Amino acid sequence: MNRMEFIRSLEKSLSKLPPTEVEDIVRDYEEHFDAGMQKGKTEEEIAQALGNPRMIGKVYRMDSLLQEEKKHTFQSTTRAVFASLGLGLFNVIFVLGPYAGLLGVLAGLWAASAALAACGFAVTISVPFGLLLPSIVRLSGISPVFLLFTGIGVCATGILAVIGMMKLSALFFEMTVRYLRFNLRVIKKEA
Amino acid sequence: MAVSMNIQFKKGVLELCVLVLLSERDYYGYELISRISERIEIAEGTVYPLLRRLTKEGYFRTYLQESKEGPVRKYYAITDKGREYKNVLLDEWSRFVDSVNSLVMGEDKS
Repeated sequence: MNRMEFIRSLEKSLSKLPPTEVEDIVRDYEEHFDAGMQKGKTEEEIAQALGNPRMIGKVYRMDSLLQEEKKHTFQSTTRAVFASLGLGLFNVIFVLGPYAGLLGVLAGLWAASAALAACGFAVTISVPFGLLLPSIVRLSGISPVFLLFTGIGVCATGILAVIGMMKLSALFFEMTVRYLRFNLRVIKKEA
Repeated sequence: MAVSMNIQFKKGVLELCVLVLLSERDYYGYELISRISERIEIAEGTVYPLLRRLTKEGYFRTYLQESKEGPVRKYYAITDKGREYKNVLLDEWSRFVDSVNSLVMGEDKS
């Protein structure tokens, strides 16, 4: 086998690789032939020592396949990182603000409901105190019966509001968990 | 004297030889292969895929330079990562050789 035959056979066996890759590989063997001939060897001797070009081509193809596999896993990991970074940015800019706001509203409503219940309770018990121990609690001119019923009414409204808040909070946290799960799904899908 | 060896075994040893030789100085392909084939019988063409793979994995880097004889040649140089890898392989190799020797020579029996 001479130089041309060797190179042609090698190229043929590399034909599935990208052309730039093939060119790069072939250049190594061209250089090898040049160097060998400079040392006084014949093309045939050099080709003989190099071995079967089809076998050599196979080694390159195997290496390239393995390389490709590595690149894919790397790319998907990178994509997942970018997806989570992107989501993270989106979360910080568009989600965190309104979320903090909603959390504030929720806290405010909780405080209002609790205050309503406490206030009603205080008015309700002020009536028996006022009647039994007028020296400690002095009732104003308003009728004690009216005060008693108003107090009970306000207290009941407050307790109802607290119950409502418990339901609302549970819903709010369920939505939070759902949103976080959605984030996770997006990242996993990218990987 | 050129020694002939089992193919799979030779592949691993070839990798070690290439790493050790390049850790001593830079070589261009033909020069490096000549150093190896003086001692071990190999299909010389299989050294280039090995060099290419180890270069892609960052153990070697290449540069073009005119040789003493004139034409521009592609030289291979070992990187720090390559040196580390060489030490690991060399360590494995010497432990392997010791084990085989102690088995073959029967050191344990005496």
